[in-house]
Amino acid sequence: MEKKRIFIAIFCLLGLLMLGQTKKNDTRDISAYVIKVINNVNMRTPTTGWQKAVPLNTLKSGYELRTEKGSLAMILFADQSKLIIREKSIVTIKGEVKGKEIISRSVQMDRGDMIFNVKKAETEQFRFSSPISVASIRGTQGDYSTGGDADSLTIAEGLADFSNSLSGKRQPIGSGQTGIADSSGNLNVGSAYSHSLRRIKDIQSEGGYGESDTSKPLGLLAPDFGHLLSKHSSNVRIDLASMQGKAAGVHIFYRKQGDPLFIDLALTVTGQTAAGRLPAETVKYPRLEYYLSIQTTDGSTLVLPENGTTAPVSVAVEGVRHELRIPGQTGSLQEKVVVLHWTD
Amino acid sequence: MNICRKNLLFLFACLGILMLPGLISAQIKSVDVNLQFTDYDVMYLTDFVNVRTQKLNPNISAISMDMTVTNPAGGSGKIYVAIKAMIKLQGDNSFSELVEGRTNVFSINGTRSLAARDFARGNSDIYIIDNGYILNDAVKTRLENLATTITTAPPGVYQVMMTVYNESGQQVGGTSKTITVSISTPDQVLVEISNPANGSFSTNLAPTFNWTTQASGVYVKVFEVGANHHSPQDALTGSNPCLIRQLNGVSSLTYPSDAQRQLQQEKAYVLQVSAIVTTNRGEVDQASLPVVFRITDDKTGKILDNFFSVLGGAAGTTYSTLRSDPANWVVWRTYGGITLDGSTITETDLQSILNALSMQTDTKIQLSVENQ
Repeated sequence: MEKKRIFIAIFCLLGLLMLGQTKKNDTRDISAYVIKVINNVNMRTPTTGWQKAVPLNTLKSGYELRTEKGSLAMILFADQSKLIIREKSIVTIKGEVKGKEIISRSVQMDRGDMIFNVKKAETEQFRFSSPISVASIRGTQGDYSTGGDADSLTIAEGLADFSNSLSGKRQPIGSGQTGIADSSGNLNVGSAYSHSLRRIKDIQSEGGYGESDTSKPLGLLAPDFGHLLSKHSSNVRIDLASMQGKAAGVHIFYRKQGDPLFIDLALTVTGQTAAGRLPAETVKYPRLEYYLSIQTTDGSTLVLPENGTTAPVSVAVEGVRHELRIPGQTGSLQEKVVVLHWTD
Repeated sequence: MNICRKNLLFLFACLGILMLPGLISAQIKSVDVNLQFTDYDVMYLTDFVNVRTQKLNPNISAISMDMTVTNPAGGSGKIYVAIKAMIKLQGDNSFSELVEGRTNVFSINGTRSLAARDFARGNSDIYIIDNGYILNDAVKTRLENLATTITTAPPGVYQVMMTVYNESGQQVGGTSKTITVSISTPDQVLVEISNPANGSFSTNLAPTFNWTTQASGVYVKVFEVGANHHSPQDALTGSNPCLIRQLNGVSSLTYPSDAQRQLQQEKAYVLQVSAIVTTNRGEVDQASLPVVFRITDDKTGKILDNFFSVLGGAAGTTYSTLRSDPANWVVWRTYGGITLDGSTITETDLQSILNALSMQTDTKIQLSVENQ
């Protein structure tokens, strides 16, 4: 009998152990990346204190992000869902993935304002929550803000469920609507202000604080081209140290400013550097436009800047100035030289 | 008796002997007269007429009268010459007599030539007698008035008639001369070259030159332009002519094969046509404006024409102005080759470069023209 008990106990223990392992193999923490930082943005993990956030910092479940006055951060998920955390906000990311499937995902916002663009998913609902309200989003663009006595949820596109956590009241919010949940338990839904809807669109297209920042949008990941000279080949090098070994592949898509098509150049990743060479015939005066596509070790693809296909970064290409001189004679025997100048 | 008859016979014999020369020099019956008067385009009146005496200038050398006794041939005798001058100026309907007079009776022994001095008392043997000298005051005054503005014979028709009479008053010969003066000064003779146009160019090594002028005689000259010539005048005065040709009665010339030098490709030349104006003071050349013409196939110019016609804009306009009249700019390798960024290139290279530039529609091309 005792042998039987021992056997059963061992069997149960093994079962529990296996269960744990199965769980470990099936789900893991969700990851997101900070892809844009403007001014003062900090992050902390469950085990560390606040530290400066920089582009390509990884955010896992339980990580917090804080923006100060006049600051902004942009977070990108593997499914290209995007959050723009505006000034004076604190958010905590939570969630789990199974393989490539997102099981759960939520953002706890203690205070602040957040513009979101959530890609539609079959099963998962992206939840935003605050001390007062909860919003369940599935494939939606909008704005969620909290602070003081009331929260608001404005939907520009799509549909969301909005509930007041204090009273349990719940209402759907559709396109062009704003829901207000207050600390008294009320929940009201009405038409959104047009300027609110416009702001949601504008901030997304401009990628931040109403200004197109093409000067240093890639921060530490900005490629080093050296001196770009028209019709001369050029080396390109990217320092991947900030990615902390998570870059599996790097492509640079580039073109002459104004050309319709980008050229895809796969860079060679060696240690913490990605490098390649732009052929001479592709380097053209006056400017070169580009964006990066970075494949991460967890299978995500980051496009930097995130709207690079439509608003790529541009850098100057020095032109080569040419002079063509053609001597000639007029009918009154004067010597006149026709001189042509151009830069290419 | 016998003595008286002898005396009478002797007297008749003496008379006969005395009369014999008279009987032997028979009356002149005909004289051949030839009036020499050069047909000048322009005549300086003061050279012909002594303004003070208003008589023929004895020093004029353009007039002479040659007389030859033809009946009896080579005969001798005495004659006198009557002279009349008529004039019809431009605008007049008919001739007016200007002057009329006659010489004294003088001897001719077979032939005799008379010059102006002979008619102006320069020769004591022959002179214009005062008796019978008629000068038309009205015509004279008119000519004097004209002479205050120009010193040359005014345009019109001048007639001089000379009649020879023997001492008996019988007309034995004569002649007349009509002189037409169409211009009053050499400056009035113009020469205009109609072809080639100034600054033109072609590949023809035997071009035809055309001109218009009132003069009947011209000089046609062609000079090669040297590398150090910066104006047509430099070429006219600084080089040896490729062609000098005197022509009469024509208004065109095709470059002849027997010219001093033949024309060559990629060379510039200056053409000048000068009208020959004869005056009693000598020949005067009235030259046309010089005309520059070039021999070239202008291949490079055509390449540039195509390029700039497509390019358009300010550059195209500047170039178009340079190529058209009056600039007539052509590519000229005498001044050096075509260069790109300091290196000489061929015509083929130029075409390739311009073709490539044509494709780069967003490339800004600036054109400037440098005077050297």
